[in-house]
Amino acid sequence: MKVLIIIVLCMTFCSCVDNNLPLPIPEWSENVDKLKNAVPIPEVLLHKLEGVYRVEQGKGLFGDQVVLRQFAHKITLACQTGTYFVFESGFVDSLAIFQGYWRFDLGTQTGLAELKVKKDFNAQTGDTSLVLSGSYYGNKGINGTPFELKFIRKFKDTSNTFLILDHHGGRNEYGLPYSENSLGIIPIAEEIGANGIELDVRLTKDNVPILFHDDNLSTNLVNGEFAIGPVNNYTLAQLRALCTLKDGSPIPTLQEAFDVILSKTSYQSLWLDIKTPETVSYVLPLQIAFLKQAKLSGRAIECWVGLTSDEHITNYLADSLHTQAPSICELDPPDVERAGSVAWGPRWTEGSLTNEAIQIRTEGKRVIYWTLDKAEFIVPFINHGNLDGILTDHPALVSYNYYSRN
Amino acid sequence: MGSLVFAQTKDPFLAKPFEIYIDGGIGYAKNISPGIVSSASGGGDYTNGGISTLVRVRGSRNRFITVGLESGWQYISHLEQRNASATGFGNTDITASLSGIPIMGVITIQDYHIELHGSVGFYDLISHSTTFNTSVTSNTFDMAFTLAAGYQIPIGNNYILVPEFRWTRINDLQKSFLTLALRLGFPPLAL
Repeated sequence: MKVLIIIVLCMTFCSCVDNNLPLPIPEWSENVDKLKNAVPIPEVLLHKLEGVYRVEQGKGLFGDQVVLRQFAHKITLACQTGTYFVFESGFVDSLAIFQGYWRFDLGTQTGLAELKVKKDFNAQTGDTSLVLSGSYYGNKGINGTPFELKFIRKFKDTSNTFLILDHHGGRNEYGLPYSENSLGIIPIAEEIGANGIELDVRLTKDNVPILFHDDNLSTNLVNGEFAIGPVNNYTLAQLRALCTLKDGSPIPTLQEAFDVILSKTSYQSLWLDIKTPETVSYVLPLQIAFLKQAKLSGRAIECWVGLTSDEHITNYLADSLHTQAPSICELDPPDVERAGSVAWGPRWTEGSLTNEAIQIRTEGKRVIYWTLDKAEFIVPFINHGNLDGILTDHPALVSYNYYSRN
Repeated sequence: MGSLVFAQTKDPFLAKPFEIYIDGGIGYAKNISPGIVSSASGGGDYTNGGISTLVRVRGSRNRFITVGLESGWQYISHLEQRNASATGFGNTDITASLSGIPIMGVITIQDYHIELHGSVGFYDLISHSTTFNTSVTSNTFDMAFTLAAGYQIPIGNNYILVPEFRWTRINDLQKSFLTLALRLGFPPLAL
């Protein structure tokens, strides 16, 4: 009996513990914010910092080398260990100062970090005199650990056309304070090294395309215990009244996601994973309007509707709009041809499928493997070379492994 | 010896028929997990727990270990809220309730009038909600576990009364219940 009571008490305790607590992105407090009065660094100058750096000091968090990439007014360090750093930038006196945060992408550790370099930096292959020095901290910004990064070389591929697509708009296994497929997480993937995202799209009862991965609502994905069962049992208004995503934001529509992508990101590509075949014909008009709007605002962005079954392809081809709506087909190469898709998305577990990938690419179509998450698998796929991108839960890891190639 | 055993198992007076015991109970389930409601619908009149009924069918009460099935009905939660906000659609009144029908296999250990039960199976969760003057009934199946302890009080003619204490976990719903129930055990049905 005692044993039973102990088991019940333990299970009761465990069942009351919320093990999905969000891990906020740490921020520098105002009194130590060195960028408060800093002069912004032009993007073209920041771009000159891009390259592969050797870790001279502080290897624990970084590994032996890091990849430094720039986007907008920020820089990202992608490390061999799966850790990444995101820095805001600014000139202060004779120095370029970087302040931001680090996060271990395969766990729940995070903290603050800062970095500095002489104002007249210019990373050129052959010039190994460029040294970035800084410190990383815990959440509070105290007891810093110094580190030093020495420039080794520029990237082999400087075109930034290799696609690194973040899964579900940004994966959130380790407690980022935003839900997957939410509007909040969409800009975050870019900080981590992605230049595109994949979003999951399905229909509500009133046929509104929304971002939601699962067939069913559950308290794993939403706050709202009265919203259960198939998503398409509910209209959008009912969903908005009964539940929110786990981060407290409303379940977004595809149109709202398009607006965020255009206004808050510089993504180059967007893969719409269409969860049910009947969703296809409701997405195509929105996709075409999005592409037109992007073109009008001068954005070069690709947007593909994902075709994952024969029924998807049938519905796609039956819609007269399909000729204006590019698609990515996840089935076999003949299906890619049949659907007239511009890209092929093979599952990585089927192997590299080298001959098929070469054939598809010679036809001017893209090949993007999904979903590669571990370095031991990412590296061979990058090395075999017959691919245009990778869909991943860990864009920093793909970024490191792609750009650190010599 | 062999012929003796053979004779016993064939003897219609000595062979025991297969017996099924049916128990029925009612109690109150208190939800010990916080309500998982959205910020939009979190400010109303929320009830977390309610009546729980149970039907358990199992083998002999006289064996140390038996197995069986259990079902019933459980009231899980209820929400009444006026003027809840629904982003992009204005405000609405919400009336919503959630209940569950367990469908579980149970293993029971019993001795000295003490019963210990462990169950695993599913809850058919049923939600009924009304928003924007439109109702939706929706359901889903969710894995569940139960541990229970009870004490048998014989009340004559093979009837027993069992006060029972139960812990239930519904997995995806992320809810745990403590239930205090009173069960009535009926005389066996011989098959």
